[in-house]
Amino acid sequence: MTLLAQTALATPLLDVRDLVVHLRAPGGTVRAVDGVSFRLAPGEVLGLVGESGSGKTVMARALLGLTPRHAIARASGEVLFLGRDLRALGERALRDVRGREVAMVFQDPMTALNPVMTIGAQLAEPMRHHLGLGRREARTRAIELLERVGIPSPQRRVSDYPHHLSGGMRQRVVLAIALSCGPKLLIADEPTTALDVTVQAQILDLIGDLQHEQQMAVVLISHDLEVVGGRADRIAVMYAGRIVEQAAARAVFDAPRMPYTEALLRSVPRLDQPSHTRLEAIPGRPPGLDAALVGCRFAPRCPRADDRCRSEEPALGADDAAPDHLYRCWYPV
Amino acid sequence: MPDLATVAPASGAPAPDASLPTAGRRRALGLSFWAPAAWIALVAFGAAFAAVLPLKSPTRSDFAHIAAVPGTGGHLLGTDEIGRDILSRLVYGARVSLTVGLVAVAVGLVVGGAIGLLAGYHRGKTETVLMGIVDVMLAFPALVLVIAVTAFLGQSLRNVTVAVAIVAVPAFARVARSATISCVHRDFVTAARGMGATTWRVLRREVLPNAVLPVAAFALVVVGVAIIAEGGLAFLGLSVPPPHPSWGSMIYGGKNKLADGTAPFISLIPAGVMFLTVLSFNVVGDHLRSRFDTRAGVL
Repeated sequence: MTLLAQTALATPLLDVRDLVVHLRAPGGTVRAVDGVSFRLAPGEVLGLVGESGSGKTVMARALLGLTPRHAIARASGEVLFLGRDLRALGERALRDVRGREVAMVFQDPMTALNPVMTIGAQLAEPMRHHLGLGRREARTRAIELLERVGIPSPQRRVSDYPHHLSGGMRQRVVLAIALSCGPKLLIADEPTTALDVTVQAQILDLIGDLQHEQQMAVVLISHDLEVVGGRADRIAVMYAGRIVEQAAARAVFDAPRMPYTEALLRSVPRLDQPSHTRLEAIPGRPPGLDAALVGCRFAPRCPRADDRCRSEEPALGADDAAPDHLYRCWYPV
Repeated sequence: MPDLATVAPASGAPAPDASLPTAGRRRALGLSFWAPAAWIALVAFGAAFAAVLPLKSPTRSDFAHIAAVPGTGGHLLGTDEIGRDILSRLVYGARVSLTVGLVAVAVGLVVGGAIGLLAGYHRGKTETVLMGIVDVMLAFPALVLVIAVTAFLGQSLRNVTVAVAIVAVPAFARVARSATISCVHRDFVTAARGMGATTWRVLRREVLPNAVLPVAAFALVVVGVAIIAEGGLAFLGLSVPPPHPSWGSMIYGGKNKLADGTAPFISLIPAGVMFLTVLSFNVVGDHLRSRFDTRAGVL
């Protein structure tokens, strides 16, 4: 196991290096992703946390080259998947990676399924395309997959249209589609945000089970630290287009270094506090991403900030004592 | 009318349960839909079976009854200024009107729809170029274009159809483009691309089925416009050559007797038929469009 872990570290499944995605917007350029780097070992679960507008979704879509070309103002960096730079691949080569090796689950299951196609047809499509299955085999596989993701009476459901299913059921179908070709990496972009709390846990558990079963790596994106908490091996916190802290999940929860992460943790309601305790909120708002920012991006909202923070941006670094705990702060917690 | 045939059974089913709460989702289609639909069916039936119906010749004159009032001399709707049977000419003329209306619109739908689909999907340069061409076509005076086409290619049913189709293309391109844009950014399109679907497949399986309904409803309205366009061309003598009947040329033929009041029905009957037909296409198109709109809302 240690040997396996070592080789895994030597050749990461996904190695994102200094990814930059600036988008065109009516008012100018939005620096949605501004120099993000991270690695993912095979079978590892990385939780990516950040508030809305921090660039999580743009980043997730950029990994697979799904950002509409006309919307990109500037893009650079490398997305190495098993050593191959996906950003340098042509559209044709990229299509063989999408779905087959890397699959995605989207936030809203209400819109992630085509309303005029049966779920069976939508499941069969990528399997016929990538795996060359015939109509019959694809249908049989589709029913198996529906069964695996916990859809009752899959033989009947396979010919249903998306509007016949509830939100949670639809998200199961979306998951089944994503897993249909046995990807090595699943990018789950806020997979439970649009669902009821009770259903959320079920879907997250299902993703966990499938991850375990298929030994695939997962990038679990959420605005909610709690969602990612018990399920990720490592957590990366994103703020204003940058990763501001990255460490093992336990370390992030027990000893956050970046004041932003600390503030996020404190803004979660806790049951051991008396009722009607006022929730702690982070004052202010994230910076607009349309201008070049000077200094630490969290400085305007940070209680520890001083002139240095406002003029000079700290690099993503670590202490010698804990080389795997990366953070971006001059005055760590 | 295949469009109507497919719509009829689907709408017929929920109609009797108007009291059920589910009926609120789909309003029942009343007389205001079925009466125009029946009229279109009647006109289409006449056009299709004109040759086998017990009609008098549409081109031979009955010199004993010239400009005969409807119901006289064995002519149900009377005869025109040179004694030809008006009913027969109306039925044969429906062939011209419907051919131009349906074929020109079908061509416009396919060509304009393809342009709009591509422009809406590939934003940026492709869109700029395609929509630039479309805007130039829209800005060009339609009548001048049509006159140029028929003058250059000669007068025939085919050429009139081609001319009207050319005019219809840019309108369809615009409608198809906006319908495409409205669904291209929905997640399921991105999801399909994320699963490795080719552009062609995304357009065919994801975008087209979701964009086709509003465009198809618009097409029915354009059928009416195309029929009027053919009528206008016939009035100017630019449609099918005489003695072949066309509603527009019939109106033109009776204009003197309309002006002096001796036999106004020669112009008024074909004008009324054309009015009813165009109105019917518009009403049916409107009904179907509102139906598709509510469906889009439910989904």
